[in-house]
Amino acid sequence: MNTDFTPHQQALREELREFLAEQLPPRWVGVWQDARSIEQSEAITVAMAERGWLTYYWPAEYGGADGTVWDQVVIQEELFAHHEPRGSQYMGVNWIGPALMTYGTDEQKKKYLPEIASGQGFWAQLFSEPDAGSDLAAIRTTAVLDGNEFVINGEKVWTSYANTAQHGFLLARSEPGSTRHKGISALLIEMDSPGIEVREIESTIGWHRFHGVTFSDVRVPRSALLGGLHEGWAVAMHALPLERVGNARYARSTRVLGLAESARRAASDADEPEVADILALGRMAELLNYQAAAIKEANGTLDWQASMAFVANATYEQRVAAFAERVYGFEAFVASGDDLAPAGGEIESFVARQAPTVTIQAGTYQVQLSTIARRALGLPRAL
Amino acid sequence: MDFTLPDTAQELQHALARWSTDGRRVHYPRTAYSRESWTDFLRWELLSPDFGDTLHRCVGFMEVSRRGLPGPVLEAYLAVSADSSGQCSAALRAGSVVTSVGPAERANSLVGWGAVADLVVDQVSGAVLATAALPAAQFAYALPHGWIVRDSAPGGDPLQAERWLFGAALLAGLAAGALELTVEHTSVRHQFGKPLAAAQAVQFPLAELKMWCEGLRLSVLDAALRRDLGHELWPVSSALAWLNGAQAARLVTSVCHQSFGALGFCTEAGLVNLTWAMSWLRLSVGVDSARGYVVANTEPRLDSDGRPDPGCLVLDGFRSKARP
Repeated sequence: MNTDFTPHQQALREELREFLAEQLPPRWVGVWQDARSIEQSEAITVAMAERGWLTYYWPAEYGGADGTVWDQVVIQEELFAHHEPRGSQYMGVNWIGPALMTYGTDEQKKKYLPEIASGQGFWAQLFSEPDAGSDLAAIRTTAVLDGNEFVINGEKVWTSYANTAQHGFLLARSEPGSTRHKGISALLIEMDSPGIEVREIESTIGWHRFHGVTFSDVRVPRSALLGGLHEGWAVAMHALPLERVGNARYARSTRVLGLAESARRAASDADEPEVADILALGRMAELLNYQAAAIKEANGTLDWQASMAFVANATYEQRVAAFAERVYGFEAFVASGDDLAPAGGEIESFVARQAPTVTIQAGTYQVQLSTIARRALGLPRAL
Repeated sequence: MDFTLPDTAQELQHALARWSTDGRRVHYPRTAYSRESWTDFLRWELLSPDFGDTLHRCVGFMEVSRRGLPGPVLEAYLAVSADSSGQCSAALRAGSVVTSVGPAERANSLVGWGAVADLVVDQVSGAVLATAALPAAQFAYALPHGWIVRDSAPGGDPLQAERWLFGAALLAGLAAGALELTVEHTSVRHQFGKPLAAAQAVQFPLAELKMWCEGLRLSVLDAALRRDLGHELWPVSSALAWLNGAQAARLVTSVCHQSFGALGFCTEAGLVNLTWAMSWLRLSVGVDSARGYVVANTEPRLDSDGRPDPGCLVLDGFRSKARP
């Protein structure tokens, strides 16, 4: 047993910090601010790729550096502690690329993996639908084979990055009349295909944070199929835990805790007990995430451990946000466009945009609890 | 990083689990205390200074406490640690009940298992305070704790980090045991035609407890490992583990009793022995000193300009302020 990073990983961390200090624009608080922040994100992603850091832990044959899972953890922590400048590219790196390595054809690997590794290809996850959110197996979007093409019809919602993505990772029902987990296929599609319409769903949590995507007789080649026909559920279940464990959200939470602590210290030391309790929770979140990474490293199947890491991240994040709200009062909601925004808008981004939504991303908090209840505690499926 | 326990620690865990299941189930957790179980526990030598490393001792403490505390496990361990004469170890080898008391501001102090003690030791000085059972305190529940009257304790608390770490290990076991009992109960108890656990209102809080129990277990192992490696900040990681233990214990107590209903407060269910033991540890050790220690001995997570240091992760918060 060992719970420390190696000197190599610490050195990588230092290099990344220097890089991010140079590359990040002033008042950087993430990609959800405006069109310019998306451009800045793409530039940083390419710069990371040029240094070999974007897909550092991928095998060299796919454009990586044969780094370890722990190298990747370090990279994720540093990026999340700096408000995740990779934007949508985290999806390509963390779970779409690995899913391609497991299920992709040679042609698909050749087409997409070098592109992700170079920081060029951007993706949208096309899973949720108006009547299929937490209950992903309720999707109705169809992808029916017609000769050598799939014809796609339906609607996806809550899709981030659909306005800028070139590719989409789509789950659709390919077997007519099928229900639940059966008869679903995973397809890799081009977002500029005729018949795809993207519209923004305006929200209070970021510029172009959500989109609706409609498919009207969209035709994609059969070669877009990832994994077996009608076997997309297995692909999704392989990929989703990778998504959950790839989010080092705890790192950003600790950064914001430091900010709130500094603001409070100027006025009072009365919060020290609460800070200590929150730090303890933060260490617990780290360890649960590291345990999941260790399972991933051992090529084990990520199951309830990934859900547990998610729940710990969410608990920690919302506790930090509650503390920050108390410290800053309503100023916590003053955004980066205002010169008087606390910490250049970092607090607003965290308190108003990130923390309130942590429990509804990558599967809801309740879905994760359900997974833990069934898989770790052996309890029956509950309604 | 590697989260796999050494083979020897896994073997110890399995052996203690078998002992708990086969040998202690009759008494624990349904019986608060029996001399017979205490002496049986002592045969494992988990309290001996020569037992082995911290990791193995913590693994042992976690496994034993899943079915309740067989006696003053933490107090006896701290007594052995404070005693330089070897008297406590000898007494334990003879099957005695050895307990101890830490620094206290009041003249009257509660001593864990003091009412059945053969030897009571001061955790700060290692001095013997009593060689016979103390006057029993009257509790809402049958904990055999006793009162001692003494002069105000001398300054310093050399065993505080040990108290946090091994206390957290015991809390981890007790919390896991309480959750196991509750999962078992809610799976067999039917209401409205279904097991209680089939209701989300019951199931989700139990899933949250599982996260806390697993996180606490990892916190304890993390701190134990650092102590074994001589890491300068093992007391900080021990304090963090203890704070997680205290938070987890409160949640586990609340949720498990709510799930059990009235039965949870009845001796026959066993739950109350676990939750009372958690309350005793949580309140007798306290959290104030651990909180103060964490804040005083970690990086402030800020740079010299008051901005968050890029190295502001909790893991880097383990760096001592004194470290170059």
